[in-house]
Amino acid sequence: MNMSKFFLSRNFRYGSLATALTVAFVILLVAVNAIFSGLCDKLGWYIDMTNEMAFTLSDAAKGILDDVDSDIKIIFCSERDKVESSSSMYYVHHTARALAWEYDNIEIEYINAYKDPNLVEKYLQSANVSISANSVIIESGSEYKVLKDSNFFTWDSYTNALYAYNGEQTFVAAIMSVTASEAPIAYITTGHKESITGAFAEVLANAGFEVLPIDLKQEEIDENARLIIINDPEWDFSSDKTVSADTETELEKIDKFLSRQGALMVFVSPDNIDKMTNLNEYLYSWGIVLGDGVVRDHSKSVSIDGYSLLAEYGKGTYVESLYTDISDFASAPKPVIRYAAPITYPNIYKESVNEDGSLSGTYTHAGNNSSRYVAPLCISSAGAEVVKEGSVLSSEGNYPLLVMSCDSKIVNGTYLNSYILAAGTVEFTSPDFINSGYANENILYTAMRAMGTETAMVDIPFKPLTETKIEGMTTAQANGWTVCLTVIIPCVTLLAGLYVCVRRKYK
Amino acid sequence: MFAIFKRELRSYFVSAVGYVYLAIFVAIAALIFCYTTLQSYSLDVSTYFTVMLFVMMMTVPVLTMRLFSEERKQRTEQLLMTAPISVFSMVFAKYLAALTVFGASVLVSSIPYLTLFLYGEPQSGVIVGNIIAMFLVGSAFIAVGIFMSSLTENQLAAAISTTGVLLAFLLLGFVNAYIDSYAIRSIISWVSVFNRYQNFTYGIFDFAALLYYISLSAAFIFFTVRIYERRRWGK
Repeated sequence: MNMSKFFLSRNFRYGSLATALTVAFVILLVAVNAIFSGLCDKLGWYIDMTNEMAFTLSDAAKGILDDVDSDIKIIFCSERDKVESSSSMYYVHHTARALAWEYDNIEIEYINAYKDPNLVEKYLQSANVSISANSVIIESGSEYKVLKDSNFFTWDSYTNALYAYNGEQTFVAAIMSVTASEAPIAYITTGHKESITGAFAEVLANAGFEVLPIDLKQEEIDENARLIIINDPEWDFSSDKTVSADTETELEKIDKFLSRQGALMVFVSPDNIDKMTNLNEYLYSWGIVLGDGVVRDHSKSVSIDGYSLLAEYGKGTYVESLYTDISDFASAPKPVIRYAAPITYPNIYKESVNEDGSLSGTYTHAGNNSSRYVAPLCISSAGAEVVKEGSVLSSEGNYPLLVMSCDSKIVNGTYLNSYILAAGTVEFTSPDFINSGYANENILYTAMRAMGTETAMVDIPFKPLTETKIEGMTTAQANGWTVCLTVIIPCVTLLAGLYVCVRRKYK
Repeated sequence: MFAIFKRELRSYFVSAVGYVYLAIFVAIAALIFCYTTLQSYSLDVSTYFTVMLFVMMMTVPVLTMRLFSEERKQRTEQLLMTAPISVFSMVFAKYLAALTVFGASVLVSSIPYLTLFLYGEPQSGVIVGNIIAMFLVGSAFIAVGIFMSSLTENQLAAAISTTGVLLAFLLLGFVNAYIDSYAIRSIISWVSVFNRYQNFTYGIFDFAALLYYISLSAAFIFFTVRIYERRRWGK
């Protein structure tokens, strides 16, 4: 058959064959689009155009997950389109997809928790777990972790606007915790009327710890322990050997634990500091003195009484190097530290000097084969004062409220560090301030990261969402630009048109 | 084909149509831009680009309404159909002319973005991605417009029907809120111009969406060609 005659025939041009060809063309277009969309979805063909690379996995995250062989399931408790239609869960979903694209052992599943509640029943076995449409479950074998949407973000404490996205951190930490053969232990001391909030326990669990109580009078510290927490004791720790000369005291056990690169967190209420003679003495040797009175600041407080301080980040090269996720301290969310005693340093600790001669903000004491340095992670504002029983003890301001002390030894050419994080408050880990848009939780993670105890999130930065607020423009300027852009450019266009039309008319 | 392209392009700028369209488009775009960014003291352009889809829905029909319907009304389409060029060339030339004018309007309406750089660091990658996506969405809208224009000799009818079809394409995704079946919602999301555009507002350059918009353009150009093939070769 002559092909050119065929293509010129009426039947081809407008007959039934033409209709069939139209349908075939449409089917072909649909098929090409479906195949290409499927490939893009399966293989992750897209370009991340954001400044903060919010949709790209960081090398730090990949470095940690490269060693994970176990099969991981990331379960969203909503159907896919519902997840993607939520502006916050969009980021979370995309990170999960990025993980699935990168690793064959990670897959994503979608279940409708409302339509099929039986599918999520097994995840509700743990206490304090609730599942909503925005929950994400990380599962590996029989281990699982339920995450809320708030786990993935940090909010600005002033405006309640989204400040940063830390989905990578959260996912990696969760994956590490469900795949760890044996989770490191965080001990909470008991026997002194200590207590711990659920929010704090959750922070520790999210950091990959198995949280266990320990009575140091009677129990030994497990080899797998990485962190000991003294939270809100009302009685002092023992340091005398009344039981037996061979029996280690509580503080001796802690000291031995710290000497093998352990870490200690101490939170003591200002009302009980005076009772902690032995503990205070021990902390003194680490350069930490929990002071008298309570810090108050009416101008920088989130409560009327002035005791819920909106604290500042500590200054100095060392402290600033710890806060790797913060590029602009002025705009970063602030921590709230309520009812806190001021912290000072022993006289034998001297503030070290930088190479350029400026003060470093870090206090150092060199001892036998080691040096200890202590620096404030959080300080009060310059206008704060210290009060006790209604009287103002001092009003110098800039009181250290949360400090980290590090003991650094060189053994066989390697630095071996141990740490104490201390504060004269028990409300730093209060559920009012953890996961509430303040920086308390992130500071705990920062401290754990610095201590080397945090299992998975080392070096994975959270991604501050690009600042979208316009600064430095007045209302008059905004109005001026509006008039200029809305009127002048269109007028120029119309004038050009008028010129062309008139010129044509009189040509 | 180039001759038809030149003729169509010239016709936009010989009369006041092209200039008025450009001026109105740029004015509306600048007003929306200023309201969503400068007046809101925000560097975030996602709202602006989302609203511009609906602006294009109303302005693109103005560009395309006369392309074929005027030819039919003036009875000049016979000249076109008997010209020694293929129907595809004729249709594509007109499409390209409208696309050129639209492209010029997008280009000129991009000038206001520069003001953002004076007051902060906007997401330039996101802006570029959105401009490209907006251009391709516009090209798809133009293809729909020329198809609707080819169906009628009344320009107003062409404009209104184009607006209706484009509105349907844009609002399709919102129907999902009332649908229980995930499978149906997926299909609707897949077809919805608006749903596919959302990735760009977040900062993801979505190749699948770009192919979709190009395919939509191709489909409606093809339909227009088929209409004219039928008219050219019909009994």
